[in-house]
Amino acid sequence: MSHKKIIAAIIIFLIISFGYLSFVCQKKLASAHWWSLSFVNPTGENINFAIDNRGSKKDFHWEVLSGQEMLGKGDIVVEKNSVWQSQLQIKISQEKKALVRVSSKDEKKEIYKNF
Amino acid sequence: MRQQTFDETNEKTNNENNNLFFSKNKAILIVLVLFLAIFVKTIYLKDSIIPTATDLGHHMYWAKLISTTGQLPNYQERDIIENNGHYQISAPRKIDDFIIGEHLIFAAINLVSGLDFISAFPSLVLFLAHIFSLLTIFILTIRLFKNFENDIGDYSPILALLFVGPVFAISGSQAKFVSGGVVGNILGNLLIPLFAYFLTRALMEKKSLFMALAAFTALGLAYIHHLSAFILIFIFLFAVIIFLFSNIKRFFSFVQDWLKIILSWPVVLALIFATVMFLVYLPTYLNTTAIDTAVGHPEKPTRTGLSLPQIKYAAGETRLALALAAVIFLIFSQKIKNYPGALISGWFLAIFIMTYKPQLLFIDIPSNRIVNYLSFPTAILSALSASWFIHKIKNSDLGPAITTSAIGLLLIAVIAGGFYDNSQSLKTTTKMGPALETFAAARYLSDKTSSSDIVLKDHNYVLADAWIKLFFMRDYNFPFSRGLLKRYEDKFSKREMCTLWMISAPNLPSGEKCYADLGVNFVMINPRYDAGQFAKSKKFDAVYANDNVGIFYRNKKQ
Repeated sequence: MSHKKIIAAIIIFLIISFGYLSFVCQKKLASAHWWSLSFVNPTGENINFAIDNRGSKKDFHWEVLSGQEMLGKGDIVVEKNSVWQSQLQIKISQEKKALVRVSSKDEKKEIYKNF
Repeated sequence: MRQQTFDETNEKTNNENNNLFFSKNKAILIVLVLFLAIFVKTIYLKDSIIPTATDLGHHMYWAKLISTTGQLPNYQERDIIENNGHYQISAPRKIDDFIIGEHLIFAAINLVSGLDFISAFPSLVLFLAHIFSLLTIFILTIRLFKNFENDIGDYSPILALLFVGPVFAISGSQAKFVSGGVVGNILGNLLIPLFAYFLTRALMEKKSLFMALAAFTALGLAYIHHLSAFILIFIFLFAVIIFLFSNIKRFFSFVQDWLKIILSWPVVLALIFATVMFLVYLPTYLNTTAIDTAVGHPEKPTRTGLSLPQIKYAAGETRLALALAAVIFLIFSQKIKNYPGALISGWFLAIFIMTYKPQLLFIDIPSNRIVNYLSFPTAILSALSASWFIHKIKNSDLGPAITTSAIGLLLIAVIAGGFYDNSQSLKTTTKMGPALETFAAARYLSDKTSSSDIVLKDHNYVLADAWIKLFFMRDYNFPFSRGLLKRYEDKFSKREMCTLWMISAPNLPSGEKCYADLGVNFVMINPRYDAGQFAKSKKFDAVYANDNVGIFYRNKKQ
């Protein structure tokens, strides 16, 4: 049997293998099960925050606290693969800690700034 | 009965004289072995195809730099240094570890196709190079043993492909290096057998074109991977010494033959090209400092050689035993006097001694890196042993039942160990989810920071952290990194401690001084391990949180 047929077989195997691995990679990059919480402006005094949802959970509950004082709260729906940003007009007193707490079902995340 | 025509007879003779003509059964066997090799490696790679490997991340930084700037990179980095009790970020310092050949191909593919570096393509390029190296081993084995007895010349290439392809398909320098992104080693594993192939054909067929190709391949290797180039020098020297020692009486006549091949236009042109290349762009590792680190009396325990059980584990016990038997066979059958015998014995013995007793050759390189180069010559030699055994058994007076059983037992002994090794490697899977969170956090931070912000990250608990630098593209060493914790205890190489203190003890005076001196203001860590020490301090704001990465900002208000 000519070596050309062997080479053709190798090419076919490699195309299938590479195609499969590329597909798996794309699928894993696209399928995620996490969400993140972050300040829109991490260095300034603005405490507006963003929820980046990459998972299947859509319902989120947020709270903003300064010390023990509740400054705001709400429930939102953030679709998968989208980002929601708050539009708060809250001023934090000096020497207080502004805490943003977001929960979704049994998951909770917190970020904060020390003033 | 139909008589064969003249043309059919001619074609049959031509096919039989063609080294790459195989009978139908052999071709099916070759295709099956290759299918098995590609299949096993694909199954392993599917769980590690998302780029997370540290080495690959480092290499892709340089490839992306070439791609974005359109220029060959200056291999340098900024580091943290101490100067009279004050910590500062140094000016860019040269790095000897990287060579242009490791990065050009990835940059070229990115430029032509637009494929993102953070995708499957880097691993697939390495996978392709790895498959080509297996095919090179196959055609090399055909050339090496084609003048041996019929059975040996027929069986050994297929057995070599079997012993290096699906068997031990993952560990060592195989699929693990593909997923690990050990670019230089993978490309070196392609070019070393390719050099051996061209050299074999040049010497056996006395064709200067192949000698030129061998020289060109060696030159390419010098620009791709320093360790592989260094090992090639030893392989070549050992092969030459063995050949000359075995043919001492005909020393001058062989030297005359070699000079005839070398002093020819193709080789001279190749050497002129090599000289010009070295004058235009000398590989960065060719300097006395870098050479001093690789040559000398080894002192570190990791460089003083591996024990025989460790070498057996790396090369495969049965394969190694068969390889040693093959060397003995070559010596006693006088075939070590021939080019193929001297080359393959030299290849094996060079790496074996470099691994087992490096001090004999003044090698000062981690021994577990050198042992990875043993698998290819071991596979070829064990294939030779196995073929010789099959040849002897088939031509003996033992009945077909005993013949078949003996051959079967031999193959099972080799294959079983290799497939067991595969099964152990397939058990461990890499979680790729956290890598996506690392990339998201890096993207956030690169969007929110400017050139005046200094970022520190952790290497121990943040997955795929080496890829974070691709989001910033500010410096090879940016963000700064708290390295593996045990490295800070290494008594042989003193390291700066700021990167350790700033994450492990940010509130102690040592950590605070580092923050003050260096101006680090963002820290990326895994909150499961390192959030506590930052949460205790009012100097740090937690500005980003996902499951596996937390970012803290050192505020200046406190």
